[in-house]
Amino acid sequence: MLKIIARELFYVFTAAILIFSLMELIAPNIVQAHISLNLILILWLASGMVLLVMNKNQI
Amino acid sequence: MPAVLKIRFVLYSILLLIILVLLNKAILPFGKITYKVTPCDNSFFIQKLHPKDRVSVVDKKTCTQRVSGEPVYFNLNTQRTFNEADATITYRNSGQNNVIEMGVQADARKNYRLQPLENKIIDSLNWDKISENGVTLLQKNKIYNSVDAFLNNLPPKSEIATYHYDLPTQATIPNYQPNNQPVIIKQPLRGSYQFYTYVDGPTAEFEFLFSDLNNNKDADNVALTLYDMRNNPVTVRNIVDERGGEEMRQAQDAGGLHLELTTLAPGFYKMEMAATDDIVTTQILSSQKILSFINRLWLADSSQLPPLTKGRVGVGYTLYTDAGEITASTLNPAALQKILINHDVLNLDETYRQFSVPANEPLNTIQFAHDDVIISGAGIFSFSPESLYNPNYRKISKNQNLDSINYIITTYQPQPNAAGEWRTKTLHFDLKNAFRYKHNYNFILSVPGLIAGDHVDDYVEIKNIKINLQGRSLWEKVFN
Repeated sequence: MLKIIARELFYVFTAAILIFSLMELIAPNIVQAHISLNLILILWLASGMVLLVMNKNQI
Repeated sequence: MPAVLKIRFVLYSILLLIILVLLNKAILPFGKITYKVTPCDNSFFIQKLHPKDRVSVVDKKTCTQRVSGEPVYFNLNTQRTFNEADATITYRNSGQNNVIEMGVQADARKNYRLQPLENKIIDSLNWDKISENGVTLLQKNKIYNSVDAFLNNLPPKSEIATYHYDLPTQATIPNYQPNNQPVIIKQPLRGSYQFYTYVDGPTAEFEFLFSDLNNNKDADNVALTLYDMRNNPVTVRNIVDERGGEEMRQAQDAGGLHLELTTLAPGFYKMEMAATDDIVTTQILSSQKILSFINRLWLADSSQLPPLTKGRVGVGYTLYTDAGEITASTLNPAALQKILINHDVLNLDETYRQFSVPANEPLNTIQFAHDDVIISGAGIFSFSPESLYNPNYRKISKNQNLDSINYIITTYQPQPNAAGEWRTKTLHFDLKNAFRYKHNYNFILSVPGLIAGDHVDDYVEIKNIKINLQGRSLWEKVFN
């Protein structure tokens, strides 16, 4: 179950990075004014690393 | 529903909600939003006061910040345009500052539309006050029973002062005696300037000669515009800079403009010369007697000019003005000097800094030995007493002497004196015609006389700034 949550979190952070980056390209600062994209990036990386560790432990 | 789908539904719903909130905050479908900030905050929307050398470090305990020099600016970053702003500022005056004003940038030339926050001169007056429809009339002795009665039967101009209120400018000069000889000004003037002139017949003639200092890289075009007193342009002339030589620091002749006007209605006109600071007007010739420079003059450094265009090389300079306070500054160490204003001495002993002295005569005399000085004040300046005439009413300055003033008319609402106490004041700004650059509206906080680093403990302390913005709704944008 935890692995499913970690995997889905990774996917949603990936979607968030892509969508927010596209929004920023179209209208600069539409996201950055309220949410730091650096924070989303860190969360995406962290969720990815957690997922990798979980996958590794299963092997 | 499998667990995976439930988790996905929740997470992607949250993401969708965040996207919709971000879109709502950017588009603002109802056209309204409020931003609020304290000095402790790092707001994207209302940015910090600057420049840094005019503000103190933020006091983290009280979340306040002191402004010790003026003016200071802050930017309002918005993702769309708005029509109006109500700016509410909570501040405290240390007590030494007579005038505090806030404004929004009006154009690319960094002109600001100021509004009064506090005017201690008016607040401290024990005069009769009448307020009607946002206009206040203060009378030393009560003569008028209403603002309308005052406006319909104005007393002599010399007894009236205005503050953020425009009375109709004088149309004609009674018993005007024109000159037989043209007025020639040979004192070189640097950069832009404006002057009033008076025409009593249908014709008028002006001639301007220019030099280009070629200090800066930008092209040095000249635009000369004559306006009537309703601010309608009557004639426009231009010189386009095709001379080259930018940044060569070799002054060169930049030609001239000759205006021969034959269809003018009698009355006052305003001549505006717009140019960069590389342009020096080496000579002005006018058939009209009155040449009253408005608010500011930069007497150029004659030594920088080509020999034939030097114009008047000084053995001293004299200006005349009706301004209630005279400010001088210079960028040139060789121009540091003592300036005599009536019988008072203004010590211009530091470059890049303004020095001011009150001037309380109806006609003040300014005498100085060296040129390359910027002289300014809320009034007019001329090179002879005969050329000085102000069609406008006197404006109250920060050190205004009110001895000869019996009436003040203003849009400022006097408030009880409260030095050292926190005050909250709201000002309304029209943003439709405000200047917006890279999504920013630029605001200014002006406190005349507040100088950073002058070892005087005067300041304006800021607690918070709140701005309510109103613009067109999504509905109005789509369907109108």
